[in-house]
Amino acid sequence: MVKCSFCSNDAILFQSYSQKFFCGKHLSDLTEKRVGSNMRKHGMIRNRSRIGVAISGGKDSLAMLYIMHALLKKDRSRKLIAITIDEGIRGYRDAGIKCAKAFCKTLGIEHHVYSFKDFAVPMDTIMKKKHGDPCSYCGVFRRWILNKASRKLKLDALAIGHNLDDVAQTFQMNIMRNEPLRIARFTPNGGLVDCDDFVPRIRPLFSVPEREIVAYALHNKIEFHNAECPYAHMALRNPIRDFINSMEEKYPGTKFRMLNTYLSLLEKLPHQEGLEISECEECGEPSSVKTCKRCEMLAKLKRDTRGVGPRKLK
Amino acid sequence: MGILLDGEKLKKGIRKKTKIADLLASLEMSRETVIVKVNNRIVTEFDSAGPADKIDIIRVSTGG
Ligand SMILES: [Zn+2]
Ligand SMILES: [Zn+2]
Repeated sequence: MVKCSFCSNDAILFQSYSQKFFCGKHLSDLTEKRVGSNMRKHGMIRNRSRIGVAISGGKDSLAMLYIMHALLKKDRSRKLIAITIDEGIRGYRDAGIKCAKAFCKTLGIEHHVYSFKDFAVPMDTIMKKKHGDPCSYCGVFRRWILNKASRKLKLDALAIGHNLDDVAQTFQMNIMRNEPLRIARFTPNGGLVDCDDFVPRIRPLFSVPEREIVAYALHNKIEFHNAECPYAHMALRNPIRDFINSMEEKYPGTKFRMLNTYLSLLEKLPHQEGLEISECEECGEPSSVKTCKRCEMLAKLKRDTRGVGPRKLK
Repeated sequence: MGILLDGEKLKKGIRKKTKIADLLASLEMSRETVIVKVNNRIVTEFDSAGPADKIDIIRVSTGG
């Protein structure tokens, strides 16, 4: 067995970008240190006491919850509250929710589940008819519900399990789609606009490679749900992910270089200019246009499916 | 013992001691996208496995 570069234990991971080998303990130390330093450096929990953690039951979000719990368990001024969104994808999301529930119970963390069937339209219903890119519906509905739920639970911030790979892919996709505002919105801490009705998103894992999170979760015996969303094969993200992974393999450090480019660009992008936030005329949620994206999509679905709609409109 | 990909047995096996990196290359898999366990222990692509070992390939890019 190959040995760890820092001790005599067997290695479980080789970091090609640093040319170092890591045993489980040293990989765990590094990962936890990275997350802690991301949170400190970007003021993710500064002056915030109720911290939400969005968990799907997958490896990223459960590892994030595990690390945040370990970092904050002695901090009596802060409380972690977990939220799971049920997108209504049978055979996929149910298994994730089960893992999420069990994990929160083990850690003693309050956990809430919100469903597409109550606030939007279940993905299985949407996909019965061809409605273009499923991920765009899913993303818009999920963000809308997460923000509404975060306000209801009086959260000061909501942690999202986006890792380094997600950041690199999102950056690349937004370049290709000419979406500079989306680039500006996807920040480690907070978003594009300061508005009381938007609960700020924080991304404590933004500099942790996906592969290292899986190794971390396996080493720490976190029981996560490991399956691919049945609709994910339709997403633009897939070819982008393959491309970035092949570049990383040929040129180690590519993902970190993309992250650094992204972070230096963020400082230069226009932030709040020209963005007036008011309320969506349909649902009352914060929106920069008259009808928010969620309500626009719901109206379109209703037209296409003759009457499909959420149970709780507001 | 055979090779499992996300818990499902692959048709392909190995006949002699093989480096994990070579095994992944023969399966046309990028090291960036998987973690490999040999006999339930996580290993690096520089380690090897033989025909009697249980090899688990776990895909990492499956979302949240
Ligand atoms: Zn070590
Ligand atoms: Zn609306």
